Amino acid sequence: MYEPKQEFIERMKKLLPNEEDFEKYWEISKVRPVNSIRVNTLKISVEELKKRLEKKWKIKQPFNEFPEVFIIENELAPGELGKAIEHLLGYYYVQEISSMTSLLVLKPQPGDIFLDLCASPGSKTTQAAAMMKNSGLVIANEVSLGRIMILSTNLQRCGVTNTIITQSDGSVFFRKIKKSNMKFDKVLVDAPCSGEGTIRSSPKTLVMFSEHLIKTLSGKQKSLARNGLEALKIGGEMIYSTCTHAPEENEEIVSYLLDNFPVEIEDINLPLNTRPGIIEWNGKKYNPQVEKCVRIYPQDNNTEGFFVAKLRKIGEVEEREFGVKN
Amino acid sequence: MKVEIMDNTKKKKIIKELNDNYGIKDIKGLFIKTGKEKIRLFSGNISWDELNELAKNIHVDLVGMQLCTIVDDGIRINFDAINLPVVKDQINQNIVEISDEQIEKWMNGKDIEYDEDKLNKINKTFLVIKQGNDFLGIGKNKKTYIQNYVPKERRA
Repeated sequence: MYEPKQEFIERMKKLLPNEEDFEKYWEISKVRPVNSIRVNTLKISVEELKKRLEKKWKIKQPFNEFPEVFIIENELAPGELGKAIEHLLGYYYVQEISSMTSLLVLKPQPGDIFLDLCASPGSKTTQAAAMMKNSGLVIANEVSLGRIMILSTNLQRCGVTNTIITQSDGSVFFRKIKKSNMKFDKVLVDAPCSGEGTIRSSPKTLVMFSEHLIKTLSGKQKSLARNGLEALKIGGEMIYSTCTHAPEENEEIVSYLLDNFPVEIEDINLPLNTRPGIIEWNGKKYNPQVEKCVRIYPQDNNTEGFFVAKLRKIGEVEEREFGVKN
Repeated sequence: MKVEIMDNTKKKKIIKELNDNYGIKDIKGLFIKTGKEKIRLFSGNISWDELNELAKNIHVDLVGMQLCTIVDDGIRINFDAINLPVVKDQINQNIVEISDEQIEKWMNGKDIEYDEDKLNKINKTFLVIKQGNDFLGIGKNKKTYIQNYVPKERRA
């Protein structure tokens, strides 16, 4: 475990003021997360894969309404999940449970037109394609060519046929596609973030932590969220999610959308222990409706940390200068 | 790279090849030819005109998934496409079943020995490698052994 920076500890203590709660958070942060996978129902049924994997591993299905989510309860050798033949054949995707929640909330349906604005490595794109049964249309956008390679490899392995990969900076995506008159039923903005929620699997994040980075990301995330919203049809739904706890990257973005655009926030029901969004941080007051956002802390479900907000567009976004002031 | 959406006539030719080699009768969706030999399958709900319009405004990197490769001596189904139910459920020709012991060798990218009599009876170049309920990609019938075509990134 890397030594955390003092500012990180102070911020987390501010988010988790109860001493016992913070201790639980810090203790679980030192332990690797459980091994979880998602059945790729484009290639195999939940029952068939369960039957196969039970011959070598102890499988638990934590959610009745999402039977495709498996936890492997055995101790596994490094790389064992990735090298298993069922993985090579694309029968499952290795994905942390908290990262599955964005799509479990958005629930894309067969026939939907769906945009994944920051798509690589493809965990959520493949999840959406499976939920949509390879029908409708998925636009998987990614800015980095290197990350597009990873995305395309994962889509290929999983047998995803309903997807177009586009390469664009997400913060100018809408400006580019505007002329195509393409609008989406559902949009996912799973924004690049400071990754505070991933320290169990990626402890190096603690070394990278900086408040300056959080501030920089926050500006970028507003542009991404705005682009996602603009690309939505009126009545369409958008998920804004991150794998960080920083309010500047979470509630601040949702508050910005609520205060500036024709959008309403929706309730979220997940089969996990969640906490509401916070309405004030470092003297900044957010739109009180951000309480409807969901915070997932590692100590509450033995997962990694995550943040999810669900929004519905209720009117057209007015044309104006692109770009966002922090 | 040259990209071509195959019209019905061209798609039918590919399906005929797939039928002759593997017994596949139909695959729904657009067939997109990239370069000289690779065919991608796309099931997304967008017209050719809409796709063109999109591509005018934003860089389109890839569409759908790679389905098969046309080569001089036949047609090879892609490793990742062969277990898609729309493909797998139709395959009923040129299937060779390998043993539990051969899986590891095959999935490590190695050629495998096989019953020569059986290989000589099959007059097609490409074989579907089967183990249990899985198809482990395509191999080339070299009459005395099966040449491995498991892509590097899918090897165990």
